[in-house]
Amino acid sequence: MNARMIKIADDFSRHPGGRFRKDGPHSGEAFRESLLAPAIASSDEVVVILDGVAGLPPSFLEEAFGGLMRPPHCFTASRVAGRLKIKTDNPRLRRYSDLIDGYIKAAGKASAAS
Amino acid sequence: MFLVWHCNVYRPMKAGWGSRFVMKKQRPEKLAFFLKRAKWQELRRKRFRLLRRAKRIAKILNGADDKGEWVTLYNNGNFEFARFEGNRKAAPAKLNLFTNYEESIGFIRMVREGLTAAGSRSPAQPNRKRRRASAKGPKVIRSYWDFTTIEEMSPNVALMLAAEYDRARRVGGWIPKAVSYERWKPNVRSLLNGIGFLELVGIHDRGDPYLDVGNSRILRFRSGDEANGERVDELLQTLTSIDHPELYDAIIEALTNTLHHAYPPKERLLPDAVRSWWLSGMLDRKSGRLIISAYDQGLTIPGTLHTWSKYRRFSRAFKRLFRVDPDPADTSRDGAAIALAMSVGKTSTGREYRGRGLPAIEEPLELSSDGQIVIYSRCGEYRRRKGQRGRVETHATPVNGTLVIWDLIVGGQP
Repeated sequence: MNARMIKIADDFSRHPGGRFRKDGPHSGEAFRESLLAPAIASSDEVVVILDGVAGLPPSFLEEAFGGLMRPPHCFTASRVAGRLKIKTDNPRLRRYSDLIDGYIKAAGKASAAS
Repeated sequence: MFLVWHCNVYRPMKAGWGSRFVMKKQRPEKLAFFLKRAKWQELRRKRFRLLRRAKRIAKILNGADDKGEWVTLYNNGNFEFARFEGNRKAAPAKLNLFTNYEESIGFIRMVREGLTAAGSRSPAQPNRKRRRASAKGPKVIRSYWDFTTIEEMSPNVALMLAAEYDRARRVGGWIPKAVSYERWKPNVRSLLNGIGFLELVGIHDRGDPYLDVGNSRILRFRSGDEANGERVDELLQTLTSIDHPELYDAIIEALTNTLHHAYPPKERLLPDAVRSWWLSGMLDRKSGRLIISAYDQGLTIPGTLHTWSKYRRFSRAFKRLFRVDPDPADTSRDGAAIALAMSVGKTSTGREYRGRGLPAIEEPLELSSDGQIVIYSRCGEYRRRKGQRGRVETHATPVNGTLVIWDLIVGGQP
């Protein structure tokens, strides 16, 4: 099985924020396009480790994870949910795992409806 | 007491049985700290001497002369004397949005209008009469904002004031000098020093990211035009030693909202607007009270609601509440408009998956032990205390933009 591990704090930035590239240097769009979407497309399992980040603002998370279901990627929500695993040892970051699940489901529903 | 010698710095050492004279080599970082402290102390002594001298001379001049009043003008770490003959614009004694909103905002608006008008005027050409007058005698000033009347100032008003001066500096390259700084109240001087205002008016260039005054740590304001997480994290780490992901998220969302909605490229902004945000914070280490303020001078939340794609939903809720259609130009229900926008939780871009910014601003309240979130936007005020429902108010005088205040009780010592 082909697995890929992404530690946001080390592989991307400790300070993620902003939705689009124009919002800032470490936006959700940049994370999705540079790391997440290629990993989902090429791996059977993608483990995203949240430990070490200063925070994960909702617009960053929505654009990074919900954006996988929108053009140009257009993955299905079941494919993303099946391949993606969120890990953290920090209890203060655990709530982000539920948020990410919610964004994937909502984006999947919205893309199916359209 | 014994003295320990190391690299030109004497340190007292507590005497006790068996204590001896020790020659100890200090670590480089400790040495750097001692040198920095010595520099600060020297600067403080210098500033104190300067203030004492200014005070003494002003007193002598004012006693000797009854033609107008003598004031001191500060510029680039030095001062000069000027004769004041004209109209003094006194600042209110209380500059605090929570307790004296109308007067505080009125004063900030007056400063803004004055700075904008002065920035748009071409620099005065010295005619013969003026040249002769300046060659003969001292400088004469006709009007100034009198800060000596301020008894109390809150950090968010200090930030708004600093933002106005920063805007004027960036747009026109001109800012007025500080007048009679030596007579400002010490608490006002400390707050304005900590927030970085004194650097703007040319009193001195402190350069430090924060200032410790008693139990409080005041953070120098920062400004930017992108949602820069590094700067937000640096602010939080300087104030509290522990991570606050919820607060980090809330501040980043507020800044992202500013970029997306406060300064839309196609909309006409206020005269001389700078597409930027200003951020500062203050921590009371004794009570653990953390106050963070984020300010922008954009088109405000009630002013941009009509561009929402979810405006119909907002409009229906508004109509149910007030029995009238919302009018973007009407400021009389701005408080309710902000509260409705929080509950609808949609932004003005019109895509279903967007619009998480405003509700995220409130989240740190749930995870702190106590506190409140306050949003001022145009004439509206939205305030929510921990464990309570949001309360709204609509004021007569508008804020130039949007100010978000997180006033929380948190743990962690810097």
